[in-house]
Amino acid sequence: MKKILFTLTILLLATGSLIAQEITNPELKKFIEELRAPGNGPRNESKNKEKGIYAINSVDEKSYKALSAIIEKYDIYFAEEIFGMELMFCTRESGSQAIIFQGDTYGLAIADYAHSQSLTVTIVKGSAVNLYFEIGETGDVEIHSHEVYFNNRDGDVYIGESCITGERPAELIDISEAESIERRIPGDITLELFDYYMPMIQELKEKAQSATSKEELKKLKTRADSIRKAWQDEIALIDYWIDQRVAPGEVKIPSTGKEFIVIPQNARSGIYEWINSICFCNTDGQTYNVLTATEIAMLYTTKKKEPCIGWNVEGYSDGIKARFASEIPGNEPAYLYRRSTTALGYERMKNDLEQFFYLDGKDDSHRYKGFRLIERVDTDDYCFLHLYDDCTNILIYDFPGEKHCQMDIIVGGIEAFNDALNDISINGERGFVKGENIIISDGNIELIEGEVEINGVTYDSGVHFTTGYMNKLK
Amino acid sequence: MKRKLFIILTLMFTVSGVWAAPPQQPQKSEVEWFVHNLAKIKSDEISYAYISANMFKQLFVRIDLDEEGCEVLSFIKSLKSLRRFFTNGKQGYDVMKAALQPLLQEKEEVLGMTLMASNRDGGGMVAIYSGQGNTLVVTDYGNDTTITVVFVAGLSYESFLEFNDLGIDLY
Repeated sequence: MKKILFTLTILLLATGSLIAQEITNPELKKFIEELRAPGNGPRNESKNKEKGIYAINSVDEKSYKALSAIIEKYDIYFAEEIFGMELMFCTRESGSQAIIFQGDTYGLAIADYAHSQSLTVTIVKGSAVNLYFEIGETGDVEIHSHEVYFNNRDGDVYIGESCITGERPAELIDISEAESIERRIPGDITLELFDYYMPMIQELKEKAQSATSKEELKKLKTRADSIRKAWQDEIALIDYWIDQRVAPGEVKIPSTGKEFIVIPQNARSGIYEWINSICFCNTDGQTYNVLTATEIAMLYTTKKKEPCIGWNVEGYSDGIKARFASEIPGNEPAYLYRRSTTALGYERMKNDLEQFFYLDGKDDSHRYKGFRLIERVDTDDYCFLHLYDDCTNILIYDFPGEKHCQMDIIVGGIEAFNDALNDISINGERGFVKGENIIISDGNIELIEGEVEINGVTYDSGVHFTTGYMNKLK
Repeated sequence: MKRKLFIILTLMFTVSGVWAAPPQQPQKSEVEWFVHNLAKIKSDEISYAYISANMFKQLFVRIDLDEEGCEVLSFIKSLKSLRRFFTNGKQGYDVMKAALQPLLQEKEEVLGMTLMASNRDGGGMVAIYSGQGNTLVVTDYGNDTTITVVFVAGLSYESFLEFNDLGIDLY
């Protein structure tokens, strides 16, 4: 009995002293002790001393239930203040929830994915808000279910498994690496890199757990460090490429060779960011693409017969550049589309876009994400919406019978797009594209070229660039 | 032995902090309690979001404020929190509708708030309540699936309208 009590006391004191090195808030310290209790089953823990981050997450049903019980005991999900920290943000959807508290010294973030039995608790010395949110840009402020858009910024709290993956020895895993990936580059690229590098690190971790000497452990750690560095370097490179882009386009991942579409982050009104969030997530069963005016012009040169040579696609005139600079800083106009290709993709798209379909267009107050409804067509076969803001047209159509959903977006406004194409010269001749070359009607975007006169000869190019599902059905 | 045991147990309880005082809840108005309890309804078909005034203010102070923006900033000095509920299925809709009965009846006074505006159209309804410096908007889309509730604690009806005029949609 005496020995048991003595051992228990020593264990408690030892645990307390370990935590005390990093956490000084006694209530928070106790909370962490409870999370770390041996009876809670296997779980991952990781920490980054430099950034002052500690995280723990469940790995199976037992640990999920144990950690959940502690969260429930403190009534954290319904508290507006806990451990001297104020509730800053909370979101719930489909059984998952995320919550952030912030105090003067510490921040607490919890992500609970009930259906996958994954629960992550992160404690950070400093700002938990800044850790997970990038806030900037002007525009609308919306609270929108689990995705909270701040100024058109998708502020979805994403502190899932890829962020916290540490297993002992925790020193091999630096939380900041995964966290920084999540914030800086699009999600698909994040996963691609994660899937490429993480298995290598996992393999080293497994070896480290059975290491028999300090030297061996040191070698494994050095190797893991070099992999992490390669990972970080690649992130920095991709980040740089994205920063350098002035228009949507593709980047090739050096390590895997896979290409991804990326959109500049500094676009006007954050529209590209929103498009990024709506177009490039949950893309199973969907196809998406981005075409700039230049790329469309190049498509013409490869498809049309006359005239097809001498296109100057190197750039725009200074006048047009100046206009773009004022209208859409850093970006040329672009045409983007997202289309469902399977029934699952259809359901996902409908889910993402469902808010649009509540619009009825009766007056100007019917706006969504700053877009005004211009036209709505409801028939037995389909529903079509045309929305517009200062620089962007959005066309959405839903064919329930066909299980097809499509969204077309013209960023930059019709006139800017038109001017961009008009500004492209053929053999030095300006005004190749004349009149209203972009026609939006009944679910189609038609970019129609007019006549062109070169050296006194008139050509009827006869090329129509038509997208849209309606034509496919006809 | 008993004395040693007492000392050790006292030490253990002290380390584990079992005598920590329970957290104090700030004073809430009737409607704030109502919305607070609304957030306790558990359903996979009810989405919920909350942001604090502090966080909301962080958003605005980082913006390059023009004159209108500065006007917004003066409003948000009184803000306490923003909440939004959104149902996306029949089960969630039914649960939420039952909980919202006091508000869906469009009584002129309810939960310490006054019905400021309401509209019924095509099976749906929108009602805006305000009082005690808070504003609440409930929207029933009439499709047996979707009800939204937006509650802004610390924002008067007048400021709420001005928010809308400035193009900041809270719905």
